[in-house]
Amino acid sequence: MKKCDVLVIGAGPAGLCCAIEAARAGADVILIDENRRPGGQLFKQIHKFFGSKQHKAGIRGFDIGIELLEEVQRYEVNMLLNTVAYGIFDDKTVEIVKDERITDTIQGKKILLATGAIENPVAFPGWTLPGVMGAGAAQTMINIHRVLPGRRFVILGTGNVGLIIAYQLLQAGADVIALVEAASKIGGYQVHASKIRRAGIPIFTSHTIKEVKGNMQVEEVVIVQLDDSWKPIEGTERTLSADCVCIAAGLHPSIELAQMAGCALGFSSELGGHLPLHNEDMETTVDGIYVAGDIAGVEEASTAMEEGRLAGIDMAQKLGHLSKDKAQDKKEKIRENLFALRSGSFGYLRYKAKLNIIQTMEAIKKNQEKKQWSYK
Amino acid sequence: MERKLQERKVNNIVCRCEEVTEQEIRDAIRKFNLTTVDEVKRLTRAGMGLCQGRTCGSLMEKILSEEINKKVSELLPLKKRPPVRPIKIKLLAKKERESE
Amino acid sequence: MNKTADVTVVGGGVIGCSIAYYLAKKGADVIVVEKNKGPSFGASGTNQGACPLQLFEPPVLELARQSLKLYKNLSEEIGYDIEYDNVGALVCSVDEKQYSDMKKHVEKKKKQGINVRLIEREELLKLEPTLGENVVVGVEEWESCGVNPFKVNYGFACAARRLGARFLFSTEVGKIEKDKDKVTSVATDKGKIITNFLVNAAGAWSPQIGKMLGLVIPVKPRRGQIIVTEPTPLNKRWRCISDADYLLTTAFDLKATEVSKDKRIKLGVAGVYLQESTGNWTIGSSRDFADYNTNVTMQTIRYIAKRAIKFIPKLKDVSCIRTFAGLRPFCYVDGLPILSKVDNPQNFVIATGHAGEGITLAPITGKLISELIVENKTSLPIDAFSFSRFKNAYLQNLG
Repeated sequence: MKKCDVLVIGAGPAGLCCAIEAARAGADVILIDENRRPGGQLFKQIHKFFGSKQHKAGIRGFDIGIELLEEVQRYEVNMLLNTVAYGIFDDKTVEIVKDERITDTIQGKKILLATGAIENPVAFPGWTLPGVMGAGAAQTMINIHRVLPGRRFVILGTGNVGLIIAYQLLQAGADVIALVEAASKIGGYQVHASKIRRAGIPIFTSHTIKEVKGNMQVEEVVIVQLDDSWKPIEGTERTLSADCVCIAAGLHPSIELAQMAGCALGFSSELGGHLPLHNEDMETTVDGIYVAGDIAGVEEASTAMEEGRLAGIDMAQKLGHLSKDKAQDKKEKIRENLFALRSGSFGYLRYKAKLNIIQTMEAIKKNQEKKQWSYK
Repeated sequence: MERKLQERKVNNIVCRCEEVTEQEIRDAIRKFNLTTVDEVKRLTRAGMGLCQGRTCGSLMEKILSEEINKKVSELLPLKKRPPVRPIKIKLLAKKERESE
Repeated sequence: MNKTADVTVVGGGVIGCSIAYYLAKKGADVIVVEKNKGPSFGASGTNQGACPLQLFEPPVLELARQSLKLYKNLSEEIGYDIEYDNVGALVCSVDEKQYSDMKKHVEKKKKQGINVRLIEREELLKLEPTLGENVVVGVEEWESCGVNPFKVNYGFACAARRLGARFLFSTEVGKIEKDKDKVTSVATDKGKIITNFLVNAAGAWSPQIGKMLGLVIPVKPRRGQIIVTEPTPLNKRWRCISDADYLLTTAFDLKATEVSKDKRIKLGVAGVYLQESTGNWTIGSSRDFADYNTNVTMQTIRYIAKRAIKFIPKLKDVSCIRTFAGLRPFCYVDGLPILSKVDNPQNFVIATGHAGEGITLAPITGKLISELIVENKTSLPIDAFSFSRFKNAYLQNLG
């Protein structure tokens, strides 16, 4: 069994930043990821980030990834790649399999679960046909593996993910036939949407996919208009010829390990669904187990990095590697950053949702204390 | 093959691992007055496959919430048990660091 | 508003629901009270659904035999497919030293009227190529079956409901009221139930119900851990294979597990390998005490996996997709079930302590308890499972 101060599961932006902060303060950190390379989704983000300078605006996702990896090396974080953490057990032990053959147990005094999110499925008739895939999966294929999974694409969902993928598919040389959106207006930023419009691609709002047809793979996509109560309007069906459908219907937190660890869950539709309750330092209801990034509510890489840092600093402080004052200073700055990142009409909803999660957590903790008190 | 594809269109598949349809799930919920996704899983096998509900779990929540007229926020997700990913029995059997 | 019932059953597991069904069939007005959101949230939903007859010894053997008979036509009777699967049972040894014990086992089983056959190594390997080179000897028998435990539990519940039984889920018993030597009512968080009989079928939680009446029910939760695999092609002959250790040490011989120096035996690990008709394997079994903790532990899972490979080597390259653990109601005095009325209160019936055999024994338990309540006599003798057997032990009253 290996032992360490801080065990980080997931080497995406949140996990990397937590590992960096904890290791910078002097903690002994192990960082594991099931993929062959670290960075999570950062390396497929070939677009520039928005926001202010300090939030890496104008820098492309993969450049941020490279920067973080350099830091991880500088602070001598022990990184285990191609390593699956398949279970979390009592006493903060985690079982791993590396390279599909080496098994080990790692015990961390503190553990960060930074396992990210999973794409939401939409089950229309024909969704199991080859050619229907998550938008994120298509993005991985074109930007990382440099393979086009199809020629003619229909994209369901016009959040930022749907819009960006549509554009990147065009860049990769595919035809995008249409974007389909169930809501009455486009979900993502106008900047992205106007790029799509300029390319002359139709965006069908108040529409959904009724059915995907094909013999052995996607051949036709039948879309239909929706009324105000989201019911299909008969007779408005339209058939598009396509061989690939990307579903960009959002993501939900990947909470399996948190559930196994016994973390209490909350729910927020703004943050993607069920997620582990956590306090403002990202610690869950289970002492010493933290969450950061999409697992703690689906947001963006920029917020994930800040959350990871918060967790790393809090761990370092509790392990005695940082003085309370110093940690407090750092945390304040990060909280200001997070506040700034969660502004604007989209951001504010997430800000409120996050606050709600933190308050629910505090209420539960208080109740627990009360209970323990009354038992005595 | 042709027929099977046809069936699927009529009867939309929710759990791909175990090939469980939306109709089967709705029927089970109604027949047994199910109120949790864990029960839906136990009686239909949806979510019992290789992915253990990673994909279909959220669809099951949605269907159940429609059937029993509750918000998804009021339902608990499928209970999770190790392993998070399929792990070969020989790896479970290994003593720690045996092959290092 | 108060509810009234002839019989109130505490516990919506497979035992409680079976009792409710057989009672309702006799025309009794039954209410089942279950603290979880539905049936099968305890041991009934965390087992393998295997009912291997040859592993039973008297006095439980007769119960098992009758229960298996009831299982045969249960799907038809309750109008719901419980996935009865006539898998038989092979008990198998991988230890030369157990050869003579297995021979004795065959003789004993034959005397008990079970149609067993001893199979030597070569024939075993020929009949079932998935068995490993390690096997020494096996004993087969074909009265045993597998069932889908969820479907048995929900099937009984559904059939009982059709016959008028009522189910209160997410309902906890708070207080049991008595008048002299009789239970009069059960107070729950969903209201009071005025009842003529009260049945304690709360499984591993049955001691808590007993305690409300000042009775010590000598049962504690024993944890069993199980591995589930992805599907593989179906075995040729045997899909329910048990480790001879199950028979000879871990399951029935408490002392042997306690005094053993072998860590595996101490954790009660002896293989039970059941391949469902879907091709998935469930791999058990283990026995440890961890209060009401239902987590799996890697130590036990490791021993179970290791043992599995010894019996069925091809499993080594098959993926585990899930593990789980359940709490068996284990009678720590003698390991036997408790199927019994008590002296005081005289309308209180206990049906618990089924340990790892709850699924096998569910139908017969329901039938016998319904007879005990409605006719005050049973079609099979149940003296061996009487609560009064603990009388002179050390417990009876909490005081």
